[in-house]
Amino acid sequence: MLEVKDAVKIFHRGTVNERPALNGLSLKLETGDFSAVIGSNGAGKSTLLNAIAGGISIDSGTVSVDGHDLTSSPTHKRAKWVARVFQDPLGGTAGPMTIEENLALAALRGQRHSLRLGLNSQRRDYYRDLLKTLGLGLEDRLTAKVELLSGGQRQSLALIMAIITEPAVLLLDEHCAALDPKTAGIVMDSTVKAIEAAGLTTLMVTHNMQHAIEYGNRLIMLEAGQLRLEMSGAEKTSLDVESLVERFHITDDKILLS
Amino acid sequence: MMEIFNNFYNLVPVTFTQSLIYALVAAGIMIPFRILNFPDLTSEGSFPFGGAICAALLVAGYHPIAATLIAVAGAFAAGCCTAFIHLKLKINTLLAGILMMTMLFSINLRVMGKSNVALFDTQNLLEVVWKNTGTELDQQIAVFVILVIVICLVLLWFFKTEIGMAMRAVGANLNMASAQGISTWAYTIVGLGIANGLNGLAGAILVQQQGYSDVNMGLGILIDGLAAVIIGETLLGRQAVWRQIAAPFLGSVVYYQLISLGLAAGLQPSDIKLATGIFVLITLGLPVLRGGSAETMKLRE
Repeated sequence: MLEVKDAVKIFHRGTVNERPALNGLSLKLETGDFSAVIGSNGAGKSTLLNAIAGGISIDSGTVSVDGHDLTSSPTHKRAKWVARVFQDPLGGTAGPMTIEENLALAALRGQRHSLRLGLNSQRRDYYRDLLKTLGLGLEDRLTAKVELLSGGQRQSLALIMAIITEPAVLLLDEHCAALDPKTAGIVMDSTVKAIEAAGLTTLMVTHNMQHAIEYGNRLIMLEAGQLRLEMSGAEKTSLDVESLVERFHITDDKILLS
Repeated sequence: MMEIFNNFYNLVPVTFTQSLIYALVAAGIMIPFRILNFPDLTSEGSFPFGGAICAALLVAGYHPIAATLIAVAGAFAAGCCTAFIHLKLKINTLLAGILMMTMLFSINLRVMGKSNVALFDTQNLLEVVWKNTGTELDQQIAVFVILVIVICLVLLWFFKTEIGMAMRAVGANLNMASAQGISTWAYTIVGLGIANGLNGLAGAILVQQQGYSDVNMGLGILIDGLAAVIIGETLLGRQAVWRQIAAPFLGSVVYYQLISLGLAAGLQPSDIKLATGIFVLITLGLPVLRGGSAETMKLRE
Protein backbone atom coordinates (compact mmCIF):
# COMPACT_ATOMS: atom_id res chain seq x y z
CA MET A 1 0.00 0.00 0.00
CA LEU A 2 1.28 3.42 -1.03
CA GLU A 3 0.12 6.56 0.70
CA VAL A 4 1.10 10.13 -0.09
CA LYS A 5 -0.43 12.70 2.26
CA ASP A 6 -0.60 16.47 1.73
CA ALA A 7 2.65 16.50 -0.22
CA VAL A 8 3.96 19.98 -0.94
CA LYS A 9 7.02 20.73 -3.02
CA ILE A 10 7.82 24.23 -4.16
CA PHE A 11 10.82 24.77 -6.42
CA HIS A 12 12.85 27.99 -6.19
CA ARG A 13 10.87 29.11 -3.16
CA GLY A 14 11.13 32.82 -2.44
CA THR A 15 12.36 33.76 -5.90
CA VAL A 16 10.53 35.09 -8.95
CA ASN A 17 10.78 31.58 -10.40
CA GLU A 18 8.81 30.07 -7.51
CA ARG A 19 6.80 27.16 -8.83
CA PRO A 20 4.67 24.77 -6.81
CA ALA A 21 5.20 21.28 -8.27
CA LEU A 22 3.16 19.48 -5.63
CA ASN A 23 0.44 21.50 -4.00
CA GLY A 24 -0.97 19.50 -1.12
CA LEU A 25 -1.34 16.32 -3.12
CA SER A 26 -2.80 13.24 -1.42
CA LEU A 27 -2.98 9.82 -3.00
CA LYS A 28 -3.58 6.28 -1.83
CA LEU A 29 -2.99 3.05 -3.69
CA GLU A 30 -4.22 -0.20 -2.18
CA THR A 31 -2.01 -3.26 -2.51
CA GLY A 32 -2.33 -4.59 -6.04
CA ASP A 33 -3.67 -1.35 -7.51
CA PHE A 34 -2.26 -0.50 -10.92
CA SER A 35 -2.81 3.16 -11.65
CA ALA A 36 -1.95 5.24 -14.66
CA VAL A 37 -1.00 8.85 -14.04
CA ILE A 38 -1.65 11.46 -16.69
CA GLY A 39 -1.39 15.22 -16.79
CA SER A 40 0.16 17.96 -18.87
CA ASN A 41 3.77 19.07 -18.60
CA GLY A 42 4.45 20.70 -15.26
CA ALA A 43 1.44 19.07 -13.62
CA GLY A 44 3.71 17.38 -11.08
CA LYS A 45 3.89 13.80 -12.41
CA SER A 46 7.67 13.52 -12.33
CA THR A 47 7.88 15.36 -9.03
CA LEU A 48 5.36 12.93 -7.54
CA LEU A 49 7.42 9.93 -8.67
CA ASN A 50 10.62 11.53 -7.41
CA ALA A 51 8.98 12.30 -4.09
CA ILE A 52 8.01 8.63 -3.74
CA ALA A 53 11.36 7.24 -4.94
CA GLY A 54 13.41 9.68 -2.89
CA GLY A 55 15.03 11.72 -5.67
CA ILE A 56 13.65 14.88 -4.10
CA SER A 57 12.53 15.57 -0.55
CA ILE A 58 9.14 17.19 -0.13
CA ASP A 59 8.72 20.42 1.85
CA SER A 60 5.83 19.02 3.89
CA GLY A 61 3.55 16.02 3.93
CA THR A 62 4.36 12.33 4.18
CA VAL A 63 5.14 9.36 1.97
CA SER A 64 4.59 5.88 3.34
CA VAL A 65 4.67 2.37 1.93
CA ASP A 66 3.05 -0.55 3.75
CA GLY A 67 2.97 1.58 6.89
CA HIS A 68 6.67 2.52 6.77
CA ASP A 69 7.16 6.26 6.82
CA LEU A 70 9.72 6.96 4.09
CA THR A 71 9.38 10.74 4.01
CA SER A 72 12.89 11.46 5.19
CA SER A 73 14.65 8.32 3.89
CA PRO A 74 17.26 8.68 1.15
CA THR A 75 16.71 6.88 -2.18
CA HIS A 76 18.89 3.89 -1.40
CA LYS A 77 16.97 3.15 1.83
CA ARG A 78 13.62 3.34 0.03
CA ALA A 79 14.84 0.88 -2.60
CA LYS A 80 13.84 -1.95 -0.28
CA TRP A 81 10.19 -1.09 -0.97
CA VAL A 82 10.20 1.10 -4.05
CA ALA A 83 11.52 0.09 -7.49
CA ARG A 84 11.55 2.27 -10.52
CA VAL A 85 11.97 2.14 -14.28
CA PHE A 86 13.29 5.42 -15.67
CA GLN A 87 12.22 7.02 -18.93
CA ASP A 88 15.81 7.00 -20.19
CA PRO A 89 16.83 3.43 -21.09
CA LEU A 90 20.36 4.34 -19.92
CA GLY A 91 19.03 5.44 -16.54
CA GLY A 92 18.09 2.20 -14.84
CA THR A 93 21.02 -0.01 -15.83
CA ALA A 94 24.80 0.07 -15.44
CA GLY A 95 26.16 0.10 -19.01
CA PRO A 96 29.75 -1.04 -18.38
CA MET A 97 28.54 -4.03 -16.35
CA THR A 98 27.18 -7.29 -17.71
CA ILE A 99 23.52 -8.33 -17.89
CA GLU A 100 24.00 -10.87 -15.11
CA GLU A 101 25.80 -8.36 -12.88
CA ASN A 102 23.00 -5.84 -13.33
CA LEU A 103 20.45 -8.51 -12.41
CA ALA A 104 22.47 -9.59 -9.39
CA LEU A 105 22.58 -6.03 -8.07
CA ALA A 106 18.85 -5.67 -8.60
CA ALA A 107 18.16 -8.99 -6.85
CA LEU A 108 20.16 -7.76 -3.84
CA ARG A 109 18.09 -4.60 -3.55
CA GLY A 110 17.11 -4.04 0.04
CA GLN A 111 19.54 -6.65 1.36
CA ARG A 112 22.97 -6.19 2.91
CA HIS A 113 25.74 -6.70 0.40
CA SER A 114 28.28 -9.26 1.53
CA LEU A 115 31.77 -10.36 0.54
CA ARG A 116 30.39 -13.46 -1.15
CA LEU A 117 30.78 -13.66 -4.91
CA GLY A 118 27.93 -11.81 -6.56
CA LEU A 119 27.29 -14.54 -9.12
CA ASN A 120 27.01 -18.31 -8.99
CA SER A 121 25.46 -20.94 -11.23
CA GLN A 122 22.26 -21.03 -9.21
CA ARG A 123 21.73 -17.29 -9.58
CA ARG A 124 22.62 -17.44 -13.28
CA ASP A 125 19.99 -20.14 -13.90
CA TYR A 126 17.41 -17.99 -12.16
CA TYR A 127 18.29 -14.91 -14.27
CA ARG A 128 18.18 -17.00 -17.42
CA ASP A 129 14.63 -18.12 -16.60
CA LEU A 130 13.55 -14.56 -15.89
CA LEU A 131 15.02 -13.25 -19.13
CA LYS A 132 13.32 -16.02 -21.10
CA THR A 133 9.95 -14.49 -20.23
CA LEU A 134 10.91 -11.43 -22.32
CA GLY A 135 11.44 -13.50 -25.46
CA LEU A 136 14.29 -11.27 -26.62
CA GLY A 137 17.07 -13.86 -26.49
CA LEU A 138 18.82 -12.04 -23.67
CA GLU A 139 19.02 -15.31 -21.71
CA ASP A 140 21.87 -16.37 -24.01
CA ARG A 141 23.79 -13.14 -23.46
CA LEU A 142 24.21 -13.06 -19.69
CA THR A 143 27.85 -11.99 -19.89
CA ALA A 144 27.29 -9.28 -22.52
CA LYS A 145 27.77 -5.71 -21.37
CA VAL A 146 24.50 -3.82 -21.09
CA GLU A 147 25.86 -0.90 -23.12
CA LEU A 148 25.84 -3.20 -26.16
CA LEU A 149 22.05 -3.67 -25.97
CA SER A 150 19.45 -1.69 -27.90
CA GLY A 151 17.20 0.79 -26.10
CA GLY A 152 14.30 -1.65 -26.05
CA GLN A 153 16.42 -4.54 -24.75
CA ARG A 154 17.91 -2.28 -22.13
CA GLN A 155 14.51 -1.04 -21.00
CA SER A 156 13.19 -4.63 -20.86
CA LEU A 157 16.16 -5.54 -18.69
CA ALA A 158 15.46 -2.50 -16.49
CA LEU A 159 11.90 -3.79 -16.10
CA ILE A 160 13.05 -7.27 -15.04
CA MET A 161 15.47 -5.63 -12.62
CA ALA A 162 12.71 -3.51 -11.12
CA ILE A 163 10.35 -6.42 -10.50
CA ILE A 164 12.92 -9.07 -9.54
CA THR A 165 12.43 -8.38 -5.82
CA GLU A 166 8.64 -8.00 -6.11
CA PRO A 167 8.76 -4.45 -4.71
CA ALA A 168 5.92 -3.11 -2.58
CA VAL A 169 5.61 -0.23 -5.05
CA LEU A 170 6.63 -0.15 -8.70
CA LEU A 171 7.10 3.24 -10.37
CA LEU A 172 7.09 3.48 -14.16
CA ASP A 173 8.22 6.87 -15.37
CA GLU A 174 7.07 7.04 -19.00
CA HIS A 175 9.23 4.00 -19.45
CA CYS A 176 8.11 3.41 -23.04
CA ALA A 177 8.27 7.02 -24.19
CA ALA A 178 11.82 6.87 -25.52
CA LEU A 179 11.20 3.73 -27.59
CA ASP A 180 9.85 3.31 -31.09
CA PRO A 181 6.14 2.31 -31.20
CA LYS A 182 6.76 -1.37 -31.94
CA THR A 183 9.37 -1.79 -29.20
CA ALA A 184 7.21 0.26 -26.86
CA GLY A 185 4.39 -2.21 -27.47
CA ILE A 186 6.61 -5.21 -26.66
CA VAL A 187 7.97 -3.61 -23.49
CA MET A 188 4.49 -2.55 -22.42
CA ASP A 189 3.16 -6.09 -22.89
CA SER A 190 5.93 -7.58 -20.74
CA THR A 191 5.31 -4.86 -18.17
CA VAL A 192 1.61 -5.61 -17.86
CA LYS A 193 2.18 -9.35 -17.79
CA ALA A 194 4.75 -9.01 -15.00
CA ILE A 195 2.59 -6.63 -12.96
CA GLU A 196 -0.45 -8.87 -13.22
CA ALA A 197 1.48 -12.04 -12.48
CA ALA A 198 2.94 -10.61 -9.26
CA GLY A 199 0.02 -8.33 -8.37
CA LEU A 200 2.37 -5.37 -7.97
CA THR A 201 1.17 -2.03 -6.65
CA THR A 202 2.06 0.20 -9.57
CA LEU A 203 2.08 3.86 -10.47
CA MET A 204 2.62 4.39 -14.19
CA VAL A 205 3.20 7.87 -15.57
CA THR A 206 2.32 8.02 -19.24
CA HIS A 207 1.61 10.49 -22.00
CA ASN A 208 -0.12 7.79 -23.99
CA MET A 209 -3.88 8.07 -23.47
CA GLN A 210 -4.48 4.64 -25.00
CA HIS A 211 -2.12 3.01 -22.49
CA ALA A 212 -3.68 4.98 -19.65
CA ILE A 213 -7.12 3.70 -20.56
CA GLU A 214 -6.18 0.17 -21.51
CA TYR A 215 -3.94 -0.75 -18.59
CA GLY A 216 -4.50 -0.78 -14.87
CA ASN A 217 -7.58 -0.60 -12.69
CA ARG A 218 -7.24 3.08 -11.85
CA LEU A 219 -6.55 6.34 -13.58
CA ILE A 220 -5.30 9.54 -12.00
CA MET A 221 -4.98 12.95 -13.53
CA LEU A 222 -2.77 15.62 -12.03
CA GLU A 223 -3.04 19.33 -12.59
CA ALA A 224 -0.98 22.08 -10.99
CA GLY A 225 0.39 19.74 -8.38
CA GLN A 226 -2.98 18.43 -7.28
CA LEU A 227 -5.14 15.41 -7.93
CA ARG A 228 -7.61 16.71 -10.48
CA LEU A 229 -9.65 13.58 -11.13
CA GLU A 230 -9.51 9.89 -10.55
CA MET A 231 -11.40 6.92 -11.83
CA SER A 232 -11.51 3.26 -11.16
CA GLY A 233 -13.41 0.08 -11.83
CA ALA A 234 -16.30 0.11 -14.28
CA GLU A 235 -16.07 3.85 -14.81
CA LYS A 236 -12.54 3.42 -16.14
CA THR A 237 -13.28 0.36 -18.25
CA SER A 238 -15.97 2.19 -20.19
CA LEU A 239 -13.59 5.03 -21.07
CA ASP A 240 -12.30 5.86 -24.53
CA VAL A 241 -9.80 8.49 -25.62
CA GLU A 242 -12.43 10.97 -26.88
CA SER A 243 -14.48 10.95 -23.73
CA LEU A 244 -11.34 11.16 -21.62
CA VAL A 245 -10.18 14.22 -23.50
CA GLU A 246 -13.60 15.76 -23.19
CA ARG A 247 -14.02 15.04 -19.51
CA PHE A 248 -10.62 16.25 -18.51
CA HIS A 249 -10.67 19.25 -20.86
CA ILE A 250 -7.29 18.19 -22.11
CA THR A 251 -5.73 20.87 -24.22
CA ASP A 252 -2.14 19.71 -24.06
CA ASP A 253 -0.98 18.96 -27.60
CA LYS A 254 1.56 16.41 -26.50
CA ILE A 255 -1.13 14.33 -24.83
CA LEU A 256 -3.55 14.62 -27.72
CA LEU A 257 -1.00 13.68 -30.32
CA SER A 258 0.37 10.60 -28.62
CA MET B 1 74.34 1.33 -29.19
CA MET B 2 75.69 -1.77 -27.46
CA GLU B 3 76.59 0.38 -24.49
CA ILE B 4 73.08 1.77 -24.22
CA PHE B 5 71.69 -1.74 -24.26
CA ASN B 6 74.16 -2.94 -21.62
CA ASN B 7 73.36 -0.01 -19.35
CA PHE B 8 69.67 -0.76 -19.73
CA TYR B 9 70.10 -4.51 -19.31
CA ASN B 10 72.08 -4.16 -16.08
CA LEU B 11 69.32 -2.03 -14.59
CA VAL B 12 66.45 -4.35 -15.52
CA PRO B 13 66.26 -6.16 -12.13
CA VAL B 14 66.48 -2.93 -10.08
CA THR B 15 63.88 -1.23 -12.25
CA PHE B 16 61.66 -4.31 -12.11
CA THR B 17 61.77 -4.29 -8.31
CA GLN B 18 60.77 -0.64 -8.12
CA SER B 19 58.08 -1.03 -10.78
CA LEU B 20 56.43 -3.73 -8.67
CA ILE B 21 56.11 -1.27 -5.78
CA TYR B 22 54.85 1.48 -8.06
CA ALA B 23 52.34 -0.99 -9.51
CA LEU B 24 50.41 -0.62 -6.25
CA VAL B 25 50.22 3.14 -6.83
CA ALA B 26 49.07 2.58 -10.40
CA ALA B 27 46.31 0.31 -9.04
CA GLY B 28 45.47 2.98 -6.44
CA ILE B 29 45.08 5.48 -9.28
CA MET B 30 43.16 3.14 -11.59
CA ILE B 31 40.44 2.33 -9.04
CA PRO B 32 39.10 5.87 -8.61
CA PHE B 33 39.65 6.89 -12.23
CA ARG B 34 38.27 3.80 -13.94
CA ILE B 35 36.03 2.01 -11.48
CA LEU B 36 34.58 4.83 -9.37
CA ASN B 37 34.64 7.43 -12.15
CA PHE B 38 36.15 9.82 -9.58
CA PRO B 39 39.40 11.38 -10.87
CA ASP B 40 41.31 11.40 -7.62
CA LEU B 41 44.57 13.31 -7.21
CA THR B 42 45.07 12.39 -3.56
CA SER B 43 47.78 9.88 -4.47
CA GLU B 44 50.42 12.64 -4.70
CA GLY B 45 49.84 13.13 -0.98
CA SER B 46 48.75 9.72 0.24
CA PHE B 47 51.75 7.90 -1.26
CA PRO B 48 54.34 9.98 0.65
CA PHE B 49 51.92 10.02 3.63
CA GLY B 50 52.23 6.23 3.87
CA GLY B 51 56.00 6.58 3.63
CA ALA B 52 56.13 9.33 6.24
CA ILE B 53 53.98 7.46 8.77
CA CYS B 54 55.97 4.27 8.29
CA ALA B 55 59.34 6.02 8.61
CA ALA B 56 58.32 7.97 11.70
CA LEU B 57 56.97 4.85 13.41
CA LEU B 58 60.05 2.76 12.56
CA VAL B 59 62.30 5.47 14.03
CA ALA B 60 60.06 5.48 17.10
CA GLY B 61 60.73 1.74 17.45
CA TYR B 62 57.51 0.24 16.12
CA HIS B 63 57.52 -3.23 14.59
CA PRO B 64 57.72 -2.98 10.76
CA ILE B 65 54.41 -4.83 10.27
CA ALA B 66 52.63 -2.48 12.68
CA ALA B 67 54.25 0.56 11.06
CA THR B 68 53.20 -0.60 7.59
CA LEU B 69 49.63 -1.35 8.62
CA ILE B 70 49.24 2.00 10.37
CA ALA B 71 50.63 3.71 7.26
CA VAL B 72 47.97 1.95 5.16
CA ALA B 73 45.26 3.00 7.62
CA GLY B 74 46.45 6.62 7.53
CA ALA B 75 46.41 6.73 3.73
CA PHE B 76 42.99 5.00 3.74
CA ALA B 77 41.67 7.80 5.96
CA ALA B 78 43.18 10.43 3.64
CA GLY B 79 41.28 8.91 0.69
CA CYS B 80 38.05 8.89 2.71
CA CYS B 81 38.58 12.59 3.46
CA THR B 82 38.87 13.46 -0.23
CA ALA B 83 35.62 11.61 -0.97
CA PHE B 84 33.93 13.30 1.97
CA ILE B 85 35.09 16.78 0.87
CA HIS B 86 33.54 16.14 -2.53
CA LEU B 87 30.31 14.57 -1.29
CA LYS B 88 29.55 16.76 1.69
CA LEU B 89 30.92 20.13 0.63
CA LYS B 90 30.06 19.62 -3.07
CA ILE B 91 33.60 20.54 -4.06
CA ASN B 92 34.70 19.33 -7.50
CA THR B 93 36.45 15.95 -7.43
CA LEU B 94 39.72 17.29 -8.83
CA LEU B 95 39.80 20.24 -6.46
CA ALA B 96 39.00 17.99 -3.50
CA GLY B 97 42.03 15.86 -4.39
CA ILE B 98 44.30 18.88 -4.82
CA LEU B 99 43.19 20.29 -1.46
CA MET B 100 43.84 17.00 0.25
CA MET B 101 47.25 16.45 -1.32
CA THR B 102 48.33 20.02 -0.50
CA MET B 103 47.28 19.63 3.11
CA LEU B 104 49.02 16.26 3.27
CA PHE B 105 52.32 17.90 2.31
CA SER B 106 52.31 19.86 5.57
CA ILE B 107 51.05 16.85 7.48
CA ASN B 108 53.86 14.70 6.07
CA LEU B 109 56.44 17.24 7.29
CA ARG B 110 54.79 17.22 10.70
CA VAL B 111 54.77 13.43 10.83
CA MET B 112 58.44 13.11 9.93
CA GLY B 113 59.56 16.25 11.76
CA LYS B 114 61.89 17.09 8.86
CA SER B 115 61.89 16.72 5.10
CA ASN B 116 64.03 13.57 5.00
CA VAL B 117 64.28 10.63 7.40
CA ALA B 118 66.98 7.97 7.04
CA LEU B 119 66.15 4.39 8.09
CA PHE B 120 69.53 2.73 8.21
CA ASP B 121 69.59 1.16 11.65
CA THR B 122 65.91 0.34 11.99
CA GLN B 123 64.40 -3.07 11.31
CA ASN B 124 62.35 -3.21 8.12
CA LEU B 125 59.52 -5.23 6.67
CA LEU B 126 61.67 -6.99 4.08
CA GLU B 127 63.94 -8.46 6.75
CA VAL B 128 60.92 -9.57 8.72
CA VAL B 129 59.49 -11.38 5.71
CA TRP B 130 62.70 -13.11 4.66
CA LYS B 131 66.08 -12.90 6.37
CA ASN B 132 68.28 -11.31 3.69
CA THR B 133 65.60 -9.56 1.69
CA GLY B 134 66.85 -6.19 2.89
CA THR B 135 69.98 -6.57 0.81
CA GLU B 136 69.48 -9.36 -1.74
CA LEU B 137 67.76 -8.18 -4.89
CA ASP B 138 66.67 -11.68 -5.98
CA GLN B 139 64.84 -12.18 -2.73
CA GLN B 140 63.26 -8.73 -2.96
CA ILE B 141 61.98 -9.54 -6.42
CA ALA B 142 60.55 -12.85 -5.24
CA VAL B 143 58.80 -11.20 -2.29
CA PHE B 144 57.40 -8.33 -4.35
CA VAL B 145 56.22 -10.56 -7.18
CA ILE B 146 54.27 -12.68 -4.71
CA LEU B 147 52.92 -9.60 -2.92
CA VAL B 148 51.80 -7.94 -6.15
CA ILE B 149 50.17 -11.12 -7.47
CA VAL B 150 48.33 -11.64 -4.18
CA ILE B 151 47.06 -8.05 -4.15
CA CYS B 152 46.02 -8.29 -7.79
CA LEU B 153 44.07 -11.49 -7.09
CA VAL B 154 42.47 -10.03 -3.97
CA LEU B 155 41.31 -6.99 -5.95
CA LEU B 156 39.95 -9.22 -8.69
CA TRP B 157 38.04 -11.28 -6.15
CA PHE B 158 36.82 -8.17 -4.33
CA PHE B 159 35.34 -6.57 -7.43
CA LYS B 160 33.41 -9.77 -8.13
CA THR B 161 31.82 -9.90 -4.67
CA GLU B 162 28.46 -8.35 -3.95
CA ILE B 163 30.15 -5.36 -2.30
CA GLY B 164 32.65 -4.97 -5.12
CA MET B 165 29.92 -5.16 -7.76
CA ALA B 166 27.95 -2.51 -5.90
CA MET B 167 31.07 -0.30 -5.90
CA ARG B 168 31.43 -0.73 -9.65
CA ALA B 169 27.76 0.18 -10.10
CA VAL B 170 28.34 3.44 -8.21
CA GLY B 171 31.07 4.32 -10.72
CA ALA B 172 28.97 3.23 -13.68
CA ASN B 173 25.66 4.94 -12.90
CA LEU B 174 24.93 6.82 -9.67
CA ASN B 175 21.15 6.88 -10.23
CA MET B 176 20.99 3.18 -11.00
CA ALA B 177 23.11 2.40 -7.94
CA SER B 178 20.92 4.29 -5.48
CA ALA B 179 17.81 2.86 -7.11
CA GLN B 180 19.23 -0.60 -6.32
CA GLY B 181 19.58 0.34 -2.67
CA ILE B 182 23.30 1.08 -2.82
CA SER B 183 24.57 3.98 -0.73
CA THR B 184 26.63 5.96 -3.23
CA TRP B 185 28.23 7.92 -0.39
CA ALA B 186 29.44 4.94 1.56
CA TYR B 187 30.84 3.18 -1.48
CA THR B 188 32.61 6.27 -2.82
CA ILE B 189 34.20 6.92 0.57
CA VAL B 190 35.32 3.33 1.07
CA GLY B 191 36.45 3.01 -2.56
CA LEU B 192 38.71 6.02 -2.33
CA GLY B 193 39.91 4.72 1.01
CA ILE B 194 40.94 1.39 -0.51
CA ALA B 195 42.65 3.10 -3.45
CA ASN B 196 44.65 5.42 -1.25
CA GLY B 197 45.36 2.60 1.18
CA LEU B 198 47.18 0.94 -1.73
CA ASN B 199 49.09 4.18 -2.36
CA GLY B 200 50.04 4.33 1.31
CA LEU B 201 51.14 0.68 1.26
CA ALA B 202 53.39 1.43 -1.72
CA GLY B 203 54.87 4.43 0.10
CA ALA B 204 55.51 2.40 3.24
CA ILE B 205 57.17 -0.45 1.32
CA LEU B 206 59.26 1.92 -0.78
CA VAL B 207 60.77 3.78 2.19
CA GLN B 208 61.69 0.45 3.76
CA GLN B 209 63.19 -0.83 0.52
CA GLN B 210 65.24 2.29 -0.21
CA GLY B 211 66.07 3.07 3.42
CA TYR B 212 64.79 6.62 3.64
CA SER B 213 61.65 8.69 3.40
CA ASP B 214 61.47 12.01 1.60
CA VAL B 215 58.63 14.50 1.70
CA ASN B 216 58.94 15.05 -2.06
CA MET B 217 58.72 11.40 -3.05
CA GLY B 218 55.15 11.79 -4.32
CA LEU B 219 56.01 14.47 -6.83
CA GLY B 220 54.66 13.48 -10.25
CA ILE B 221 53.58 10.02 -9.06
CA LEU B 222 50.06 10.60 -10.36
CA ILE B 223 51.16 11.08 -13.96
CA ASP B 224 53.56 8.14 -13.66
CA GLY B 225 50.71 5.98 -12.40
CA LEU B 226 48.32 7.24 -15.04
CA ALA B 227 50.87 6.50 -17.77
CA ALA B 228 51.26 2.99 -16.36
CA VAL B 229 47.48 2.48 -16.33
CA ILE B 230 47.18 3.66 -19.93
CA ILE B 231 50.00 1.40 -21.11
CA GLY B 232 48.45 -1.55 -19.31
CA GLU B 233 45.03 -0.84 -20.81
CA THR B 234 46.56 -0.57 -24.27
CA LEU B 235 48.17 -3.98 -23.83
CA LEU B 236 45.30 -5.75 -22.09
CA GLY B 237 42.20 -3.80 -23.02
CA ARG B 238 39.36 -3.00 -20.64
CA GLN B 239 36.61 -5.33 -21.80
CA ALA B 240 36.69 -7.63 -18.80
CA VAL B 241 37.09 -6.85 -15.12
CA TRP B 242 40.26 -8.89 -14.85
CA ARG B 243 41.86 -6.90 -17.68
CA GLN B 244 41.02 -3.61 -16.00
CA ILE B 245 42.42 -4.84 -12.68
CA ALA B 246 45.58 -6.34 -14.18
CA ALA B 247 46.27 -3.32 -16.43
CA PRO B 248 47.99 -1.09 -13.83
CA PHE B 249 50.24 -3.95 -12.70
CA LEU B 250 51.43 -4.94 -16.16
CA GLY B 251 51.50 -1.28 -17.23
CA SER B 252 53.73 -0.29 -14.33
CA VAL B 253 56.29 -3.00 -15.12
CA VAL B 254 56.43 -1.94 -18.77
CA TYR B 255 56.38 1.80 -18.06
CA TYR B 256 59.35 1.84 -15.69
CA GLN B 257 61.41 -0.29 -18.08
CA LEU B 258 60.64 2.22 -20.82
CA ILE B 259 61.78 5.06 -18.56
CA SER B 260 64.93 3.11 -17.77
CA LEU B 261 65.53 2.58 -21.47
CA GLY B 262 65.08 6.29 -22.08
CA LEU B 263 67.62 7.11 -19.36
CA ALA B 264 70.10 4.62 -20.74
CA ALA B 265 69.68 6.22 -24.16
CA GLY B 266 70.70 9.56 -22.72
CA LEU B 267 67.41 11.14 -21.60
CA GLN B 268 68.13 13.53 -18.72
CA PRO B 269 66.41 12.46 -15.47
CA SER B 270 65.08 16.00 -15.12
CA ASP B 271 63.28 15.65 -18.46
CA ILE B 272 61.44 12.45 -17.53
CA LYS B 273 58.35 14.20 -16.20
CA LEU B 274 58.05 16.24 -19.40
CA ALA B 275 58.39 13.10 -21.49
CA THR B 276 55.81 11.24 -19.39
CA GLY B 277 53.44 14.19 -19.49
CA ILE B 278 53.66 14.39 -23.27
CA PHE B 279 53.09 10.64 -23.51
CA VAL B 280 49.91 10.86 -21.41
CA LEU B 281 48.75 13.88 -23.41
CA ILE B 282 49.21 12.05 -26.68
CA THR B 283 47.49 8.84 -25.60
CA LEU B 284 44.53 10.72 -24.12
CA GLY B 285 44.39 13.37 -26.82
CA LEU B 286 44.95 11.36 -29.98
CA PRO B 287 41.56 9.58 -30.06
CA VAL B 288 39.83 12.94 -29.53
CA LEU B 289 41.77 14.58 -32.38
CA ARG B 290 40.92 11.60 -34.55
CA GLY B 291 37.22 12.24 -34.10
CA GLY B 292 36.33 11.84 -30.46
CA SER B 293 35.93 8.93 -28.11
CA ALA B 294 33.73 8.96 -25.07
CA GLU B 295 36.00 6.37 -23.50
CA THR B 296 38.96 8.71 -22.99
CA MET B 297 36.79 11.76 -22.43
CA LYS B 298 35.71 10.16 -19.19
CA LEU B 299 39.06 10.97 -17.65
CA ARG B 300 38.54 14.66 -18.13
CA GLU B 301 35.49 15.26 -15.99
